[in-house]
Amino acid sequence: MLVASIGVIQAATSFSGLKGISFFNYRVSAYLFMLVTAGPAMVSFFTWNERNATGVIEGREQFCFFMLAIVAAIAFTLAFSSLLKHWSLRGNDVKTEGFEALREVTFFQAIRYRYNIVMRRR
Amino acid sequence: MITIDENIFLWINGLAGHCAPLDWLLQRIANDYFVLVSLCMILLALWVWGSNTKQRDKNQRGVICASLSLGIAQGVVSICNIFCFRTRPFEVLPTNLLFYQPTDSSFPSNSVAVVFAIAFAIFLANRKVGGYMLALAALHAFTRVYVGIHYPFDVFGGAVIGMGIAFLVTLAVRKLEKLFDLVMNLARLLYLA
Repeated sequence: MLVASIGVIQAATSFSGLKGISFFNYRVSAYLFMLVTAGPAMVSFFTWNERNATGVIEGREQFCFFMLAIVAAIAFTLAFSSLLKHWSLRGNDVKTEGFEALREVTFFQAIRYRYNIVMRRR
Repeated sequence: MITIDENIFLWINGLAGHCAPLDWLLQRIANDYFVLVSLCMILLALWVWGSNTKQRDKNQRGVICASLSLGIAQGVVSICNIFCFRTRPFEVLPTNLLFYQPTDSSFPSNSVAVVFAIAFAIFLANRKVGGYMLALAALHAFTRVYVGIHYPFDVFGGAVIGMGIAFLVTLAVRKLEKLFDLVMNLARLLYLA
């Protein structure tokens, strides 16, 4: 789930042109990465029919694990892409807010910019 | 009503067991994870998907509504199960059972309620993607009857509960526009939306 989530995020960010959180420079690479990561995970969910073969599904536990995996995937993506793109994206001035800013700068650079603004106001 | 329900069940479930590859395929679509995980992956993609802020904002509203609907649908089904217990069709009718034997109440279908809640919430925000998700949810509902673990009325009830909750949640989010905007602006300040 964690690996699949990272793959899906990569494909979606690449499609949306959010270079700051994409690991790849080309869309095709991101789509291939999604196929490699999310593909096997989806196949395993597709074929995994015998799980909890007797009784009620532990929905809550399952949901918590899934949420944890998704949150970890987002955290990993933000951190890894920031390190990976630290030198190639050198944004000192973040003009927009939210994800739009991540077209030009990495997540860490954007957060640093925000932090500096807050500090200057103080 | 119950007789009609049972007759439709027997007809749909009677289709099982004639074509092994089709049984195998529908058995997999009926499983507890595949459709739900697929829809959750689409939600994750929709959060960042969009060529501009406006489009992304619309998608993100849908994702938040879908996530809330998912949780509430699960809760409503759990409450329904306290007051109403219906035995599974394979326990009372001659069934081509292609699945494991769940022990909880047959009505309403929990998994169908959840997938319809997610799909309909997205449909209200993004017709195109939501349409595909609803089609997947409908296929999941059909396969639950096909494999012999739900009556048609169970999945119909689950779908109605799921869609009703998604509609109400979307309505509530629209009414609480200011609170919602506040949350979204905070997320944007932290570059998370």
